[in-house]
Amino acid sequence: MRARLINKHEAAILAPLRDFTNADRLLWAILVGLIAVGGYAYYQQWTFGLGVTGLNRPVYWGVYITNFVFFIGLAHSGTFISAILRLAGASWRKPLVRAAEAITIFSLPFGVSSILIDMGRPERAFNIIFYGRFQSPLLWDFTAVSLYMFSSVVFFYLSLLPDIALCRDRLTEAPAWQRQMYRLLALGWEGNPEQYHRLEGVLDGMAIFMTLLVVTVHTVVSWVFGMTLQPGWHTALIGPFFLLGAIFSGTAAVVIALAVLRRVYHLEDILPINLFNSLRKLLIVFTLGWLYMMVAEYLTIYYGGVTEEMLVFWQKFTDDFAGMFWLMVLLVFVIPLFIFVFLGKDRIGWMVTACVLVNVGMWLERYVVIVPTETRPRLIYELVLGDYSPTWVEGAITAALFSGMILLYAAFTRYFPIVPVWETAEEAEEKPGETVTAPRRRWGTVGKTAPK
Amino acid sequence: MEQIVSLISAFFTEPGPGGIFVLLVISLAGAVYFILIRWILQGDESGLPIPSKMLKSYRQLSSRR
Amino acid sequence: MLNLKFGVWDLGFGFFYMRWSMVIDLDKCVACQGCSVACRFENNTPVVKPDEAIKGRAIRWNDVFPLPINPKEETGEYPNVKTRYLTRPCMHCENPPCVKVCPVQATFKNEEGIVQQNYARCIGCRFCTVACPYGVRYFNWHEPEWEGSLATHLNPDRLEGDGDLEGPAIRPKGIVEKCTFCIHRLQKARARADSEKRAFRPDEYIPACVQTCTGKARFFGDLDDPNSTVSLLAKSPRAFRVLEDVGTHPKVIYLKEG
Repeated sequence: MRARLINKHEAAILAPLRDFTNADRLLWAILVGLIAVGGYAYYQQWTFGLGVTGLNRPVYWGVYITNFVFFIGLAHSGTFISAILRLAGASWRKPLVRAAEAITIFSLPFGVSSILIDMGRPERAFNIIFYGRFQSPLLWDFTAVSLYMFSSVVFFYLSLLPDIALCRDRLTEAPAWQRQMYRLLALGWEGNPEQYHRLEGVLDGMAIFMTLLVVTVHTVVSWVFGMTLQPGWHTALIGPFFLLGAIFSGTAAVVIALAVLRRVYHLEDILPINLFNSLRKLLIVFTLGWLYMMVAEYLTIYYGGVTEEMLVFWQKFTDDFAGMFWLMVLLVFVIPLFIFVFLGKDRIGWMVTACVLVNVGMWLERYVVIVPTETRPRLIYELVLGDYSPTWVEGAITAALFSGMILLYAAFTRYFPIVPVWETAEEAEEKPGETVTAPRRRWGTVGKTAPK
Repeated sequence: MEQIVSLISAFFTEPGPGGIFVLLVISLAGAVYFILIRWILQGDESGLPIPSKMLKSYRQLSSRR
Repeated sequence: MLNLKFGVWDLGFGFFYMRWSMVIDLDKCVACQGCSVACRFENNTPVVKPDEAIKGRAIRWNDVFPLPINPKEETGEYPNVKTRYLTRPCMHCENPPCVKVCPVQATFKNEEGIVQQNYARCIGCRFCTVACPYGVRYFNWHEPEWEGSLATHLNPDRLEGDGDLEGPAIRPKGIVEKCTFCIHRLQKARARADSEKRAFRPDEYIPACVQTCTGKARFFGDLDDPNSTVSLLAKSPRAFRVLEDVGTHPKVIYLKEG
């Protein structure tokens, strides 16, 4: 074990990479278990058809499509924080960017998987390439989401690159395969000023592009519903509504991720409380914005009183979906706004509570947008008045998707620094010459405190 | 004029062009990103003057290998 | 696409596209559901068990159901019931919302106005099923199966070719199906006319539901021919189309009771 001259800031950020506890093992085991159950559920579906779900006529789209919209919405967190706030020059965002972008790149694949899971004949997915018709909103979706996923990975990788080089240089006690991984992924990064200058330039340019993509992607996702004729879906407001909802749920997810990381990896100094206060202000704005959208949409519908729209309206407000709808309002708006305004300042525990409620509520919100409209089709007759009860298959697959996302995220934090070292270095207090011993916990005495 | 209109209409309604468009967009993005990443990595010491905020981290990170 | 349209022998008679349409006289319809049954047998519609049917997964290309007289109102209580029975095939709209949203052109409108459904290409995304305002589209939730004697009475007709599979063909699970105006009968009629070296006549082609109708309430023909039965009936003051205000321009025309 060698003492090395590294500063406290860097040591604190790299500490999680040098450790791997039994808690990690337990977490990974649980997550893998849930993924396995989901895999079995999908096997059932693959063998017997989509009939194993609760889907029916007229509710042809249910939990899987809700998951699709939800995961794509979560992905907007990273882009919002890293791209949009970057363009706004909000320098307080710097410690958060990687944790937020990691949510983006680890949630997008599960959004895309949700579509494949929902398809009746997933093995024909390539038909979209061979026979794609650009008149269909699904093609717009496919283009936008693929481009977004690809660009997010590149953006993420570029902002990670200097820190991969850091790991390559610092983590010399790591196993050979890991060091080789860093060497390969670092692409020979030297860290000279010109490289940094070019990197910053490209990141600035990509930030603009990613911002445009964010707006496009979720608007296009909403147009899968908006371009049909169905009451409750065919509204001009659906684009902005989904977009705001995505940024809202995404930012709440970032708060949750940051709070967990801060606690588990002891990053209290790196992620100070004023970060959470800044996010709190944004979340208050988003909550109120969400209320605005809801009022604009439902007041317009109610005032107009068009028959088929009103049937869907009452489905949400008083009939079959009233419980879910009002629970959603409580979880997305009432309770979180109260917490954000009165209890959230300087209190991470309350912030996390509110943000968890927001995300649960936003999942319900997607469900409440999608399903009630299907249960009251225009051609109204008894045989078609629908309802929908998801089965264990849909539940297991949903749990597996969330587990997959959390597993990828947790694994990432053990191999790469979750807070950017190179972007936050100049703000960190450093005392040159201060010696900090790098604790050799991970690749030596695992799970125990290293001897001094 | 009519030919242009019918070409555009065919792009949207016929099967095939949509898929090609998706592939083109992704390929174009891939090419752009490849070129950008290569350009970034090709930066060397003889580049522009160092912005002051980079100076500290540069010293820290690259002089202690 | 399969060339169903024109036999060589049609050319001598001057050529025009037909616009296939159906007229249903609700005054004559007694809601016997003979049309629905004939359709099932003609098109090898998969059968579902009662527990699946309760979940709303029964497949009925032609469906017969009670509809409020004024679709915007309730059906009322006995004895002041204001309802009618509607028999509903696919509307084969001129502006079909389902065709617009299909990502792979598994459903498309041909030049004669029939909205076709290609089982070989459908990816089962169900966008068309949620886009159709009439609910005429159905999904295969399980592998289709027929029990007992049903399995020995399947209709062998089908449209099959180069990446194309339509009509009564046995389809796999996970794809969408709907009424095709018995397009396989059109193919057969054209092929017969061709083999007899004469032009095809529109009255040689008749879907199973129209042929079976007990009350002789259904009519079928070419809307572009001003002298056809459907054209003449379409001009009736009793004529209406379902959901006319939605912009789909359906080609199934109903004659209201009266």
